[in-house]
Formats: sequence, structure tokens, C-alpha cells
Amino acid sequence: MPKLRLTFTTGVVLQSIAQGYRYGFDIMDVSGLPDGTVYPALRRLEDAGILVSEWEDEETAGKRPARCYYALTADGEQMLADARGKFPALQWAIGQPVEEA
Amino acid sequence: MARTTGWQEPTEWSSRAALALSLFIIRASVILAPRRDRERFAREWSAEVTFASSRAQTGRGHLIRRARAALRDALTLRTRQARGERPGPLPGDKEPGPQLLEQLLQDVRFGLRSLRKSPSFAAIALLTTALGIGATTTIFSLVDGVLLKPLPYREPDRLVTIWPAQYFSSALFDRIEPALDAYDSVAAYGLGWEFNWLADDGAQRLRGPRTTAGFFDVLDVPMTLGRGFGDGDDAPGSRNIVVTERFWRERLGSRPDIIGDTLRLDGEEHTIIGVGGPALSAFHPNADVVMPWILDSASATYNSQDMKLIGRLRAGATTEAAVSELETFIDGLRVEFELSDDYGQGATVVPLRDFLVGDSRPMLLLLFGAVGLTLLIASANVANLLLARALSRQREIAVRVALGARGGRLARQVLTESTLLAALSAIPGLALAYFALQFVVSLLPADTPRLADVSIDTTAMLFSVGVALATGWIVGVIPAVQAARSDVRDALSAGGRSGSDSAGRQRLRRTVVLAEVALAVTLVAGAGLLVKSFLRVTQVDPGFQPEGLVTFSLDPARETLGSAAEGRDYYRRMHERLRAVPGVSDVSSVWKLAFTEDGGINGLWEHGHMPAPDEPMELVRWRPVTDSHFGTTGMRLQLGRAFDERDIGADPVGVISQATADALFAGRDPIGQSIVTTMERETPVRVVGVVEDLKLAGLDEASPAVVYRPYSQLDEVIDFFDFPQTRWVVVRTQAGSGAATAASLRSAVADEDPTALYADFVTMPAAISNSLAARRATMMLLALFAISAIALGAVGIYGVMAYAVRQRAKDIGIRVALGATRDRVVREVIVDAVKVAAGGVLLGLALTYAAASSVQQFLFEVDTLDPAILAAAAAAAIAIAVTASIVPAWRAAQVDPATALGSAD
Repeated sequence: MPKLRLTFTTGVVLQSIAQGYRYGFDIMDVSGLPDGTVYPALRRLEDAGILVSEWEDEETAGKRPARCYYALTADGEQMLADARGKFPALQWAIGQPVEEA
Repeated sequence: MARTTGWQEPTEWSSRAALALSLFIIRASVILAPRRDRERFAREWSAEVTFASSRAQTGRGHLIRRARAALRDALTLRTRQARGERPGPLPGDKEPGPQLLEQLLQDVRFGLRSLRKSPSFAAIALLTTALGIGATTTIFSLVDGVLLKPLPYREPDRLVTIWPAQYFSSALFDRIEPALDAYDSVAAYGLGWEFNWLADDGAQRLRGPRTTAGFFDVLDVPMTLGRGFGDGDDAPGSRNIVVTERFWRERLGSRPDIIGDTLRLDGEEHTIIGVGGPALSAFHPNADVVMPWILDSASATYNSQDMKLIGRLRAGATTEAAVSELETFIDGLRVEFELSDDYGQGATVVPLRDFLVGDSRPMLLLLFGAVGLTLLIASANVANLLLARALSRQREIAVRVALGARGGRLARQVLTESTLLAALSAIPGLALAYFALQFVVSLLPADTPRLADVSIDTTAMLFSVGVALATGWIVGVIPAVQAARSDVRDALSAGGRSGSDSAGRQRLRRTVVLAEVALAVTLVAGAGLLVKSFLRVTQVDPGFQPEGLVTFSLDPARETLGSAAEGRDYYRRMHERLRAVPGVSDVSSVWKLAFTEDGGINGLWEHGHMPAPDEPMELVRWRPVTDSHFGTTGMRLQLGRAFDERDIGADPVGVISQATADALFAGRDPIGQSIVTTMERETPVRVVGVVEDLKLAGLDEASPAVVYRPYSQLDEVIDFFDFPQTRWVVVRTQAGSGAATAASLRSAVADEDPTALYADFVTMPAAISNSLAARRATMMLLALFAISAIALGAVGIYGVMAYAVRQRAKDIGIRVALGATRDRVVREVIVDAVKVAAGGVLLGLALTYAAASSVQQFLFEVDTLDPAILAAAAAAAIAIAVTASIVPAWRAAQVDPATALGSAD
């Protein structure tokens, strides 16, 4: 597998997750990244062992289908630290989720 | 962070439409994704989209745009796989999609997993289905063992009963046997004979048939040792016998050198020429010996009609040819004896198995039908359970729909699951059947034909598997059809307050429950009719006083009775000794006693009026009795007198039953008339009394005609040593001491004559009760099914009502908030249940009406459309509906409007 390039997109995704936006759509909402970019990034990061994914537990889900959420591994923490080093704006990049009408 | 409390589906139609479209896009994308990623992909995207759809801030267009991103995700996954950046398909994966077998295996695994996840559902469904399958297998084993299995003889379909309606006498047999050519061999037999065996350790009673010489040829039973009867073994003077395999094992020590040994039966040595194979017991269960029926034209019993005729058809002979041969023979009789054209009308040839088991067929078929109905009701309950459960499995269905499952695929999955459930139930069901069958067999009368052949064998196991599969299909078909019609929007509309298809599902469940109630009503009505019939039968007057009356059979050894006079004295002394036993008030004896032994059927005519050409001969039971017999048994004299001392040595006299008087002397005074029986062909008997009718074998049968003769006169007309000296001694005991006197009676007999055989003690109430065993068994089993049906119906109604209340909680809350009283709410729930039950009652009554004619034969003095029973069944159904809906109604009344309304978004 080619080595993961540390792009701004990747950093934004990691930062969002670190800030608690664990679900795919939430990452889309909060990061402002193009919709079609987020999931491919999540896939790459998971394949590389940067992220792990879990399903919501049944009780929280209730009547609706359980969602999948992501978390940083140790490698992920490291990569996030590197990204923050490379892109200082990251720490302010993620705010409240963007509301859309 | 997302709020996760109380997610609700979007209510606005446009939002729902957006959600539907989004999910459609996702579904389309799934196909593009690599196979191993598909399930994860579908789950993740559909979950996100579903969650987002109800958030107020998610616009509809936004949702759809997001869904489009799924397309990119899928494409990316595929591209990366193609470029080797992701793991590719597993070896053996077939891209075109799983084959049917794989799908089935997948479904089975899926089904097992989902059963494990809902253990309470699985337990209830398994238990209900296992009970249904077990009960059905039990009754099937009964039907199979008695009715369906071929008889255990060589080429059993060539075995027939000849002229089954006719009782044959030895005389008639001697005439017909040479005239029948369509058979390899022909034989006559009589069942239920008893013999006094003087063994080393005392006198014992043996049982068995008497047969003519051809019997073993007809059945062609392989013998364990020796041979069966052959030519000459039924000639006068023959003393050859065959013992059964069971008797040989249990009483003769299975000695291989038994052939040629003798047994002292009825005072004479009989030679054992063979040990019968086990298959012989299928013809006469519990037989010990097979005795020859001696055909002796000089014998007193030559004209006594007690035998049935069987034959083995010649190879290639048809039944039709045999029947026409029989008709030719009967024509010959008619001509020779100038008999009416009615004689022998309807004579036919019937397969042996049908003849032996035919009486049991209606009862067994009734039970089979009833258990089938019960299985249907159980299946309906499980189907409803599956329907209810389908609603709580939306996530799973959503995934499968997103994975591209079409309606047929979903239906197949539901059917596989229900069949799996039923197949798993077959195992406990079989175990249940094993024990239940023993219980059922113990209920039936011991002389039910072929009862010993009944068991859970391979046929029964195959049947239970078949029933399980069929049940799986029946149970699953409705939920499967439901599943096939579901689309994604439905799959996600959990709760379905106003979803049209959920209302449809609820209607469906109500319809299923209605059908259940209908079947239950039919079963309850049927059981009620049988119970009422049974009660009516037990109230029939038997024609004597059974309370306090006991009896036993007494068989003195031949050696103790030297002559006719000695025989008379013997019994007089025996009676006196028995009268002295404490608790005894009177004693008498009779040749064959009602409810214990039948036989001795004779022809009867008025002296000087041998049956005229257009008058068939009356058949009577010929019964010698001691003088006090009518008094002891409590039979009332209608006319004239009973026997007493003046008859000793006087002209032959007799007492006839009311039925005989009606048949022979209608309108005339029978006292003083003379009658003749075939037993005493040369002896006209003067009628001195008429006694009330007696039930001889069954309370629900007509009283047969009887002629009583005094023992004191018999030795003048009947060769003493030719005539059996066994009698049934009847003892009238004082109140309450009936069964307790058995021991003192036995020791009194032993004191008087230690060599006499005392056997078969029974109280008359018990004997009468035994005669009702078949009717009682059918009634009890049908009642058991009816009770199960009611229980199942109650469970079904409860389930539907409870669910309805839960679903309409919000409506109820609103109505209570708007001022509806709790009483009103409760009443509405109960009325709702009653409506369902009422529909079921109407349908059930219609079914009962349709089935009425087939049940008529089991009833006694009860009309199939007995209004009281039908009304009771209807009332029971309504009562069950009310009872089953009480808890849901109470819960409905507990609905707090605030909580109910507060759950709205």
C-alpha cells in the first residue's frame, strides 16, 4: 500500500474525529469538505490502521439502524499531531457544524 | 454531537420521499461496491441517511446530495480494489452473486442468529409448534398402526372376510367350504374363547381363538416351531393345539422340545403341534392357545352361530369373482330351503384388514381431524408471532433491502426461517409424541384391534418431519407475503402509527385470530357434543341393577363333576357357601353374562312355525341361568314368573326378554306359547315369563333378544360333557362392599373346591365402565384438543389486543386528555376483542354446520346442531375474548395522556 500522504483533507478528518465528530455525516457537516471526499478518506485511513470503526450499540440506536463511528488509534494520534504541526490552522479549522437550510 | 434520544421517522411526506430517494441511491450504489464491502457499506450509509433525515436542520436536497456521495464512495472502493490498494474478492467468491444454495445457507444462518437474538420469541414459537407437531404425530401413529399398516401376513391384500355380516354355524361352514373355489384356503374362527388349564401349579385361565383347520393356511404365518393346523385337525376327536409364541415364552419357558407335549385343557389332554409366530397375535391380541373348532354334526353347538369366515384369494382371482361365487352359493341355499329373496342380500367379500379395524376407523379419523385443526390453530399463533416480530426487525430488513434483496428474496428468507423453526420443533415434538402415544394407548380399550402394533416408527418420524415442513410453510406464508411487499420506506417506518401497510398488517393478524377462533369454536362444539353424548350414554338403564353386583367366572375341573346331577349339586353347594360369605345377599349364575361375555347366538322360531319363506329367522342369545338369577341381578319381570323348583324334571320352560316377545309375539300374550331354538332344536320350550330388556354389550346398543332357560332342566336335553360347565357366578353384595368381597369369595370357592378355576373378578359397574372405554377415550382426547384450542385462541387474542393497545397509545392518550373516561377506553378494547371473536364464532358455527353430518355417527341421542352446545361454544369463545383482552384493556386505561402526547415530536 502506498504510504499515506499527509494532506490537509486528511488532517481535517482526523481533527474532526478528535473533536468528537465521529460519524461520517457529522464529519461532512463540520469539516466543510466536499461530500465525495470524506468517505474515501475514511476508508484509506481505516485501511492504514489510523482509524478504527465501531457500530453504535443497539440501545443508543433504538428504532433506527445503528450508525458507524470512527476513532483514532495510537498511530492516528501520532498522525494528527504531525498534521497539526504541518497545518497550524487545523486547531481552529473545526467549529460548530455548519447549518444548512 | 448528535442527539440520540427518541429518534422518530420523518412525518412530512416530502421528507419521507427524500429519505426514500436517498436510500434508493444507496441501494444502487451497493452494486458498485466490491462484494466484501457491500454489507458494511449498505449498513453505514443507510444508517447515516436515516439518522440525518429526521433532523430538522437537514434539508431534503441536502440529504439527496449526501446520498450521491455514496456513489463516489462505492466507486472509490472499487477502484482501490482494482488498484490493489484494498483486499480483493476472497478466493471462491463468485461475482455474479450468491447461488441459490448459498442463499439458502445464508438464510439458515441468518435465521439461527435471529432466533438466538430473540430467545423468548423462539421459546414460545418452538414450544407451540412442538406441541402441535407432537400431538399430530401421536394421532397419526395411532391411525397408521391400526388402519393403514398392512396386516403382518404374506400378501395381506389377498386376505378377505367372506360374507362378513353373517354369523356362521359349523353346519353352514360345512356347506359353504366345498363350494368356494376362488380361494387357496378358507377357514372359520371365533374369538375370545377361554379354557381351563390345569398346570402343575394349579388351574389357570387361558384365552384364544377357536379355528377350523384351514386357519393357518389362510394367514400363512411363519411358525416358530412345529406346524399349524392341517387337514383333520378340526375333526371330531382332534386334540391338537397351537400355542402362541408369547405363551410359549412366558409360561412354557421357551423350551425347544415343546412339540408333542400336552396341556390339560378343560379336563382333557391336548397335544401341542406348533408354536405360532409372533404375527399371530395381530389377529387375536393376548391369545395363549389356538384351539380347533371341532366340526361335529352330532354336537349340541353344531348350529350355534358364532363364527366368522376368512379366506386367501387364489392368485389372479378378483374380489368380484369371489363375490359372484358367493352369490351363487347363496342362490343355491335360497332354492334348496325355499328362503325369501331377502336372504343373503348384500353378501359380499371384504378385505380382512378393513373388517378387523373398520369399527375403529370413524373414531380414529375423527381424532385425526381434530388434531389437524389444533395444529392449524397452533400454526396460526406462530404466524402471528412472526408477523409481530417482523415489525421489530426493521434494521435487519433495511440492510437486506439495501443489499438489493427483492421481494421474492425477502419472502424466501422468512419462509426459510419459519421452516427452520418448525424443523427444530420436530425434535421435541417427536419426544412428546413418544410419551403422548403411550398415554393415548392406555386410554383406549384393550381389545382395540392392532393396538400392539402402534408405535413411533420410521413412518411416524417421516410423517413428523413432513408435518414440520408443512407447518413451516403454513406459518411462514403470510409473513413472507408481507415481507415481499415491504419496501424500504416500510422497513424503516417502525411503529407505523399511520403507515397504511402497518394497519394492513394489523388487519391481517386480526384475520388470523378470527380464523383461530373459528376453528376453536368447531373443536369446542365437537367436544361438547361428545361429552353430552357420553353423559347420555352413562344414564342409560342397563336393564339390571349393577350397583353392588359383582361377578367372576367359575370353571370346575371336569374330574369333579361326574354326572349331570352331580353338576347341579355342585353348583347348589357352591351357591350356598357363597351366600354365607359376609356381605353377600344373593348368588346366581349364568352361562354368559352381560358386559363380560357374548356369544351363544341362536336362531329362534315359534313352535310349529319354522321360519316361513318370507320371514327371516330371529336371532336370540341363548342363556341358561339359575333360578334366582333375575332376582340377584335386579331384572324385573314384566309378565309371568321366573324359574323355581317346580321346573325340575318338568316340561321345558323358558323366560324371554321383552325384545323377544315383541319380535315373535307382537300383540299376543307370550305366556304359554312354545318356542324353539337351534340349540335345542328338538325341544319346544313353553314361555312362562317375560323379563325386561338388558343391555348385553354396550349401553348405546339396542337390547338384543334373549331366551333364558333354567340350568335345572338342561342336563335332560344337552349332553352334559359336551356342554361347557363354565359359568359366570353373579353375587349381590350389600351396599359398599362390592370390590372388597373379592378375596372372601375367592377363598370360599377354594374352600368348596380347590381345583376349580376362579378368574376374571369384576364389579358390574366396572364392567359397564370398560364397555364405554372407546367412547370415553374419544371424548377425553377431543376435549383435550378443544381446551388446547381455547388456550391458543386466548393467547392469540391477547397478542393482537396487546399490540393494538401499544400502537394506539397516543390516540388513547389524546382521547383521555380530551375527556374520555378510562371506563370507556377499557370497554372499547374489550368490545374490539369481542368483535374479532364474534366474527370467529360465526365462521366457526358455519364450519360446524358443514361438518355436522360426519360427526353424527359418534353421537348418542344428541343432535349435531344441538342448540345448547353451540350456544355454549359461542359463549366460551366470547368469554375467552373478554378474558384475554382484560390485561391489554387495563393497560390502555393506564395510558397517561401526558406521556403519550409527550412522545410526539
